[in-house]
Amino acid sequence: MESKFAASLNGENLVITMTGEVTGQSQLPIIKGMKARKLLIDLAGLKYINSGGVRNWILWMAQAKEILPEATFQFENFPAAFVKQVASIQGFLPPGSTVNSFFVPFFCPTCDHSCEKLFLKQKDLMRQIVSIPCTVCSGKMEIDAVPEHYLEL
Amino acid sequence: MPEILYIYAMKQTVKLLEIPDVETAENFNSTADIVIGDQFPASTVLSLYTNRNVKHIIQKSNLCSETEIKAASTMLLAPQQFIDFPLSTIFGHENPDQALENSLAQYSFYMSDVDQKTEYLDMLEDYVQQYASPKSMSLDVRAVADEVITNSVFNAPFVDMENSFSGPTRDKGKVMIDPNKKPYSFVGKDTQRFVFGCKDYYGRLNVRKLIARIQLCYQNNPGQQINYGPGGAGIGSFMIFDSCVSLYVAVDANKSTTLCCVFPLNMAARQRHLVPKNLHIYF
Repeated sequence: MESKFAASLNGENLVITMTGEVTGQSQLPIIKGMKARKLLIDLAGLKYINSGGVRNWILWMAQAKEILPEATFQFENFPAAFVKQVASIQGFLPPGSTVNSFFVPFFCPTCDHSCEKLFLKQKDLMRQIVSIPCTVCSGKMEIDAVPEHYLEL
Repeated sequence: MPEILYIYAMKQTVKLLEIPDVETAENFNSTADIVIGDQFPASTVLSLYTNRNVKHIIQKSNLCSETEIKAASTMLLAPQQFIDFPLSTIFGHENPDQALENSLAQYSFYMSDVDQKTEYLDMLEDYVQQYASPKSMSLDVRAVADEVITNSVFNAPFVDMENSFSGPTRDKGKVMIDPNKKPYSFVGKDTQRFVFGCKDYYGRLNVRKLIARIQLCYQNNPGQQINYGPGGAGIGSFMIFDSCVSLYVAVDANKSTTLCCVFPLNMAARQRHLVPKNLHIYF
């Protein structure tokens, strides 16, 4: 699993993209000296985080908050592996941050097909994410995550 | 509460105690080798070990309770069998040998280089995806394997028997694996269960401290238990126990530590999360 982290300024927005995995050894993007009103973190392609990665991530988030105290923190394409961490690890996301969109994994018990679907955060979300039709066998795909975890976003 | 003597290997017996509810589990007056319960939360399972020294807790709604009782009995009466043949014991085979154990280990590897950990984990995840579903389980197996292998490489060779200090910083390239003590990882499955296991050849894990640390994570929050100093993050053991439905730990002092995690096959994460946890300890 190759990991790539990048930061770029787009007007008053600081855009950070991350792919691969976050571990204790990951060199997360340096944002020291940057100024922005909004920090937009796009996590599409980020698949995995371990315990060292959780520590690294929390420290990095705290540092970002210190450097950009007035900026709003927004997340796009939030991966399923991170949703579990938000639900179980206090302080995984800085207070006041927003998750705009996130991936939900699904599993078809009839044909074993697995997939992920991107959802935008909106009202009555839970009803929509609990099951979807299977694109392979037309059966009913179940959410392959703990739905309550998504309430934390 | 009924106490049952479970007849093992024709002659020897172990004492089973069935506990009806969580309240009783926190305040019962008896000794038992194995406690049978149901719907005990993870924190109750852990406190049965830390407060009452019960080393085997099996829950009825977990998978294959009978086989788990058999495996627990083996760990109590013939621990060397579990140490030598963990998969055979977990899957309930009698009189196992190395040939059977090897045939049950459908995928296995010795890790010789820390820098190859990601490569090994990628291969393991691919294997799990190929032979077990759903996909979320392969990510759970990867996460558990990552934590267990990391401990076997960065903690096992360096800690003392008390585990009074953590291993070195998880910096690749700074730690060499002793070619005579390469950690051995293996996976196997039966019809309902998938097992990931790892054996180190040091036998220095302090299980009391390990379980106490996991318990703190459940009692407070893992976020509050993170170690921001040198060594590991301190929440890996919580991630291991939280991801699997049954945890087997056996420490053969100064010789080996074997840790096996059981996952239910063909069960979406939502259902897996609801399976009450089992714990088996030889320490």
